[in-house]
Amino acid sequence: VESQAERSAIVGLWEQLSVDEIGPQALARLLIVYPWTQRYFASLGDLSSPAAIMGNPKVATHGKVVMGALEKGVKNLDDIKSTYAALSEMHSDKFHVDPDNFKLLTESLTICVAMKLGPSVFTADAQDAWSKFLAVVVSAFCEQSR
Amino acid sequence: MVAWTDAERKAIQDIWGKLKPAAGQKALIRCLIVYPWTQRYFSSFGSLSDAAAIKSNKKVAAHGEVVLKGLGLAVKNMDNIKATYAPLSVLHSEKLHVDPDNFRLLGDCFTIVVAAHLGRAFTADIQAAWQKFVAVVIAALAKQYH
Repeated sequence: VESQAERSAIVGLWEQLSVDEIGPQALARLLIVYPWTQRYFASLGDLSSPAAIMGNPKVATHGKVVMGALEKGVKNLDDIKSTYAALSEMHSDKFHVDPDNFKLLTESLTICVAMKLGPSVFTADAQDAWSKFLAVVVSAFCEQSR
Repeated sequence: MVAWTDAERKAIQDIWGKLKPAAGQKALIRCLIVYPWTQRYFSSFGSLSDAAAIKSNKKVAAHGEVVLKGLGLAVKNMDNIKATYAPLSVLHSEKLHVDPDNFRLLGDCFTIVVAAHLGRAFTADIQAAWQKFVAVVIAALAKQYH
């Protein structure tokens, strides 16, 4: 459970991000930097090269879907576990995603956030609050995986 | 031996050229704040009691420079990181008793410092090269553990 200061920090950071901009970037980077994650995205079409991934409209669309889902968590910081119960089950029972990959996506996302906001906005304290939020989200996603 | 493409070598050298001298301090500060259990290795550093104390701690700043110099050794010896780091690896395992998982945490914080500093210049290809480099450094640091 985050402190009030941490909650404000998370909401404040989120307000400076664009779901449509950052979602596609984070997903593209995941697929490029950790290529084994491509195995979960056979339906997205051409992932044959970094250029193909960056230009793939299905990757962009799906990136927006993922960020939209993360926004639900930002708006429901009190109850992340139940916010993600259905999605968690889907990722384990339907997609069989190895839970380690959730961490890779959040790392990818954090890098995109750092790039977008720069060091004077994405300070160590901001990174701390953000990292805690993502850890809770990842934990909610791992919840159904056993 | 690790194989580096020309593009990867260039990416690492370019990043290194752009890093400011305080980058090591910045990464270490983030590590100590975001992953507070890492503070246990720095009990001789004086006050790390809160984020403000960590940020103003002179020993943290000094040690950040030491860490950055260490990273510089790897940048200058990319074809021989394992041998270059053998003594550092022995130091971290036998004298400092650092759990190798913590190398990854500090590495992640370095990546965030680099990403925040470079912004859009931290492209997916450059990120991939940097993360490969960090992984090689971490493996070399963990090599002498038994």
